Amino acid sequence: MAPIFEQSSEWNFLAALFIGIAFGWVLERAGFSTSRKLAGVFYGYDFVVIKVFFTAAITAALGLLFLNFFGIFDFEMVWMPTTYTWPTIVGGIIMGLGFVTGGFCPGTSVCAAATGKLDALAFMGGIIIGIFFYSFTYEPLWETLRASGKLGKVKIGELIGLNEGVAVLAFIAFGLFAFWLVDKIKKVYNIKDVEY
Amino acid sequence: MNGKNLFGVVVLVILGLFIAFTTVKTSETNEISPDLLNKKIIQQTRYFTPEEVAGMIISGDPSLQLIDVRSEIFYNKFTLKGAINIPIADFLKQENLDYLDQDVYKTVLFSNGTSDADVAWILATRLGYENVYVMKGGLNSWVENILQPNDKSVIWDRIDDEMYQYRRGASEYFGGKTIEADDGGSAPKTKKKVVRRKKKEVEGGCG
Repeated sequence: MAPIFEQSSEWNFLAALFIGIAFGWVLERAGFSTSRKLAGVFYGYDFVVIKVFFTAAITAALGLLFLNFFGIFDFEMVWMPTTYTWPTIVGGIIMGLGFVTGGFCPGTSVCAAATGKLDALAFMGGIIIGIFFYSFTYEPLWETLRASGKLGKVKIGELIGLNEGVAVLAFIAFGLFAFWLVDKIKKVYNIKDVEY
Repeated sequence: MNGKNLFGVVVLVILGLFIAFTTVKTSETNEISPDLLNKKIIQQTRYFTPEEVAGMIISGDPSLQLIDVRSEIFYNKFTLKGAINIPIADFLKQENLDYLDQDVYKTVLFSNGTSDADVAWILATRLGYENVYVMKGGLNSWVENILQPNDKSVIWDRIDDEMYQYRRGASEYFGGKTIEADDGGSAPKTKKKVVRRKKKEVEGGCG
């Protein structure tokens, strides 16, 4: 059955629009358009980010495997990026630094900017400057790094020798442990949920 | 742990355990589905006219990749400028498929007529390669429209006239029959010229 629209269909843009609106709405309702809530995970007073990311990953993983199990979804049709170790680590550090100082990740900054938050607009300005900086310094600074440590198209499960289903089960166990851990931390340090 | 959390954990563990004992089904081949192939086949946008191909060659379009699917003997006799030769019999060899496995170039296939190039197009498209096109009418149409554009004594309308002028220009570029504006009488002479120049083009095309 899937994909609902052919890969090159113009309907994909329309689908993307509605999925994007729904995604933004859910982010906003989950409180992800406030930088204090997002940055809280780094300072240890709010763990909603961890919970949401694990929930999203587990839901998506289970959803895809079940759709595949019922013959609705074909993994061959899914585009998967190639993994490059070093650029991922460097990019992760840059992204993490931006996240902890700015209080947004790129997607949530757009969501927050849509609600009129000035810090989010400033953050988006930073993203655009960053894009230009990367583009104009690509050849001298980034070109070698970008192609280093190529692993090919790998999945974590394949890398450690588990099939997809078992890998997802392990990921669920890890996610539940993370949920338990952050709740424990909140209880021990008596952290209260705050509405922003 | 309250009841709501416990319920969530139980559901997740059950779903996880179930999925852990299944195997992921993958489709057997990478070929595109018949209905998608059908949709692509009936699209006229998969064709380039010889005029369009000529325009791309003249303007030095860097994204153009011409593939001559005729046999090597024909290729050596005459081909288009910059064309590479992949005879249809060898079309599925890996080193030849590498030419198609990219998304930078517009790959234009051509043969003497349209049908061999069409067969090659279907092979390439079934294998999922994008940006593959066919030169409509093949080299026959090329010779007819680009190298020897018909002298029209009556211009039917402006569009026809523009097309004719365009073909004449292209003809001069590719060394085909050059026709002076009202020079209807020198046809045999120019015909000879065509043959000779065509051979010249061969040498250029292979080099």
